[in-house]
Amino acid sequence: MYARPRLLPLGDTALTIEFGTDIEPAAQAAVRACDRALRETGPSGVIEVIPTYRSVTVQFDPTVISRRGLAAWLEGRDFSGVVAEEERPPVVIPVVYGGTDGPDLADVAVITGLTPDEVIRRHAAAVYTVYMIGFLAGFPYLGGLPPELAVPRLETPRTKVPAGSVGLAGVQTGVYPAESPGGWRLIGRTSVRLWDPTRDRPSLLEPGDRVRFEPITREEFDR
Amino acid sequence: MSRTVIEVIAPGLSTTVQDLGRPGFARYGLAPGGAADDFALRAANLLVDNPPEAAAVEVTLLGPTLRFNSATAIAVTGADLAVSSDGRALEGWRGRRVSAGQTLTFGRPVRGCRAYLAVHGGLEVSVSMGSRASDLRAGLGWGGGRALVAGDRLPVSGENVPAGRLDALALGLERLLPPGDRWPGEYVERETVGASPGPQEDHFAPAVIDRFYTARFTVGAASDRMGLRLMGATVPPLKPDIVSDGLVAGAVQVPESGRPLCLLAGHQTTGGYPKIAVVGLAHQRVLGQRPPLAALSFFRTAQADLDAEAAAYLAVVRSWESFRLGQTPSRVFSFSGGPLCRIE
Repeated sequence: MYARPRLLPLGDTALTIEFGTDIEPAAQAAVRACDRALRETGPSGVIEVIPTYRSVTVQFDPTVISRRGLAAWLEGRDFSGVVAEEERPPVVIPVVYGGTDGPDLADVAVITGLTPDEVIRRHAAAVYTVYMIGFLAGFPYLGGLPPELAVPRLETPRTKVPAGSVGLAGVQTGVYPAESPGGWRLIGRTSVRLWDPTRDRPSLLEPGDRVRFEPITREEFDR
Repeated sequence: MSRTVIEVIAPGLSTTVQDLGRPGFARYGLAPGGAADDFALRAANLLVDNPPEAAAVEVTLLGPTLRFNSATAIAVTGADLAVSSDGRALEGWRGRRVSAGQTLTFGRPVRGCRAYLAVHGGLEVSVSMGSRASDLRAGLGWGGGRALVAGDRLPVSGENVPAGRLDALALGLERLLPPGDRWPGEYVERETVGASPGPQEDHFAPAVIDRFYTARFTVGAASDRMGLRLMGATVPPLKPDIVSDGLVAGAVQVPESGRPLCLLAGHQTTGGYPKIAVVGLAHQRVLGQRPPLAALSFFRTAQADLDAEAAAYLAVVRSWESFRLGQTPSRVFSFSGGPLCRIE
């Protein structure tokens, strides 16, 4: 993480506030604090705030606030302190692990040297944080995967990953909200809809939320 | 009484309902979407006496055949896709009255990539998350987020507009153009866009950056509303990937292959490729009009100059609504920004 965040240009209506170049807890805490400050007390003219693992992208209406005005607003603030975690209970996502719902579970077990049951136990025991939502509407990038479960992406991505699939990629885990191509290793599937345009807030999750997975049987999934 | 509709007789290659999109949800992974060429959409709406946010039909290269079951006023802007009405060529960038039963057909693309068909009153399809735009990836808009198919019946208001009013609006559009535009459709043929250094320009060697701004790229066939895939020169980054950060329309990402991806309205909200440059807001309408195999090149522009251009562009297109409503826009020709502007 940098001693001071860098302001990177992103065209004439946006900039990116970069706290570091890697996935690391200090940068993530600063991202969360900056994201919250922009949404709760930010200047007018801000249209989009996109937090990621290590940066916050801000899109603005240049006729309401200038790049310089936004920079000045950021200048006076320090996001490097520790953020008090909101102790909201985690969102629980029920998952059927393995079988046709998690076709890569056996491979993940081989790669990690664990039994399939142990992969499931450890994946479901952790509490994750939503660091960013991207790729597809509602697709959460979750941090907090037990390090021994880290596995590389598939060499050849699947052309069709079913909606609800729970996957692993590097130190991340995530859930596909809709059917799409994808290269994450799939260990299970949920029937919870992560993206539903008919809901008031279509995305089940938002950056900063905490998440836990709960193993269920195929019969419970079908119900 | 039957409902007033536009009947889709043949759907065309990729014909969708679009408006100015749904900003504000990028943090949930949803790009604003909306028209790939916002200028043409806004102009089409102005020409038929609609507010700028009214929904219209976005036509891509090979257009549909549509029948109006009620008299109304229409305008086609953006690309010249050889549109005709009951067999007679229809002039673009003008509001026209059509009568009940009239059929609109599109022919071979002449220039540009996307045409916009606005109908007086706007398409009255249902609103989701503040917009009527179709988003095929997120499943939003007409038919649960899909392109038009034969047999679709798009609801419209079915009212006509006096011819004199249409003439006055066309005249207004001619007068209120962004700086540098000679006539409303002039930009459709441009093949050069202004761009400023992207957030990861330092991930590229100086010689590669020079090549990016001197190369004449070709738009690849796999391009779509997400972005243009550029062929020709390659401009590979020094290191292949970054930890993902936020994206906006106009950003030019470069994967390891060195082939740039230039993002349009339907882009992903985050991405892990270094971004060498970002196309200015006032130039993004040009991107939406580059068809496959068309040339595209970038000229390096100081950030401050692009900022000023963006403010001028927004001031002009937002002045159209004041003009339409008969208000005198006080600051149309003062491009310093300010209270003229609102967030749409």
